[in-house]
Amino acid sequence: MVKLITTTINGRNLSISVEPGQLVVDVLREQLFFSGTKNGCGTGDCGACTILWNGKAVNSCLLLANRLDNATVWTIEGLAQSGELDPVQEAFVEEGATQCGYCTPGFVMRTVAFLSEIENPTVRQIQEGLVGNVCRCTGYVHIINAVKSAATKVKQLKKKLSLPSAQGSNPMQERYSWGRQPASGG
Amino acid sequence: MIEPLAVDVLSPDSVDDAVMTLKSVRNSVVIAGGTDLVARLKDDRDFARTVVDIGALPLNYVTGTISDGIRIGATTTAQDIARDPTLNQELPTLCQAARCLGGPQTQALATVGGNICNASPCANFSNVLLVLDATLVIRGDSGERAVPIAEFFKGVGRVDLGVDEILTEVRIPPIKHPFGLSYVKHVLRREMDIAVVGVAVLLEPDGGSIKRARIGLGSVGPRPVIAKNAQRALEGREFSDDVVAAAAKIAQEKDASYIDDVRASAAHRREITPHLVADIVKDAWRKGVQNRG
Repeated sequence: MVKLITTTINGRNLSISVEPGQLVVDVLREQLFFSGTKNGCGTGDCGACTILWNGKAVNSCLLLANRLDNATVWTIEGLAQSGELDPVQEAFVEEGATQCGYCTPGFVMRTVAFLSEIENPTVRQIQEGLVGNVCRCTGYVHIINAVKSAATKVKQLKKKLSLPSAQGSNPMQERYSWGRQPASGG
Repeated sequence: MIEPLAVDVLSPDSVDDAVMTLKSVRNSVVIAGGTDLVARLKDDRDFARTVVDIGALPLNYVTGTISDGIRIGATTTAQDIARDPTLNQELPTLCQAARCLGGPQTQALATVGGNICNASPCANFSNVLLVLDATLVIRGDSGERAVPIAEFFKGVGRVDLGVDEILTEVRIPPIKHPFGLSYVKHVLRREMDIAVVGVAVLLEPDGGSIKRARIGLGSVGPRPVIAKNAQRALEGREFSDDVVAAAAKIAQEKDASYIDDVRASAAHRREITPHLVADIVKDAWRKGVQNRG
């Protein structure tokens, strides 16, 4: 029994038909061709399918399609704007935090949410904050460095734009207020 | 691509509507966070034909205080419990239990009601709420009833819920100061893992003696366990290491039962239980004497 739902994905309002038993990870990948979100374990253990759903980092492999109705979703494809990488993406690239890349979208989306929870995380806090994401390639060190670097970039960007630190707020809504300033040098 | 689950999804717009749906639609189950249910449906596609989504109902709240009694809506997420200012102030151990439930992505969806109703003996919330003598508010076709949590669990995966019934609220009765509450989830990995043994303890000190003791054990029986014998060995006694050690031994021998499973052997569980009980009783005592929740 197909259902028509309205949802906002990566800033665009969409009306789509879904089967109730579909998982959001598949709606995103197969119907909307947002294949950046990956299906890893399918049981909510690896975090490869992490998206932002109503401002929260969740495993899209465990979300039934009806949960898209009236929801606001951001996937990895929605982060870069006008060809400019998000500071979190930039940090992952610069720190060499990607090898095969399969876990990366999940880590990046979780990091976006994480940095709105803790603005200046310690290494320990980063380790604890990312326990829902698994990487088979990197050994995590570069990922942790990337999150630390991203925290600095985000903080510097907010300072440059004279924005309050607004912890715990919706990270994507916040990004609207950043405009699209060129990344600062260095 | 995951094959779509063979389920129909209904979204009632009120608790009463949800109750009527559960009553009238055969083989229907409630979904709140879905972190257990969806994984289960993938594994056992015949588990249910219809899923009744209560995630959008107004059952997501934390109200009250320790002295008046705290009420938590059944679909309150682990994340919301972990972040709630009142709970962090007055009952931080419950927040600790929320923070070690799976990982951050799990906590953003998983609900306290789902954790209880899945009736795993390992469940974090069940373990802590048991020693707080929580009452569960249940709504069904014949009305509302309240069940002490200790009477709610019937066996692994089985609870006192009729097919038309929904858990709507968790009520924590008023707790008098001073009290100390402590919890440990003994696990192989610090995160994303299920308790090998769980211990929760609530102590009410009275000078140097233990006026009241509640000891809850997880993963050492088919249901979350109230260690009645160990409790009796503590209440009315002067607090001392010997008294604690004796009670911990009684918990090990008389209150807990052990099985081998994928996470640990019965032998390990049996061996670790008295150490954990002793540690957590002492921690609860320390907190009680300092008057911290």
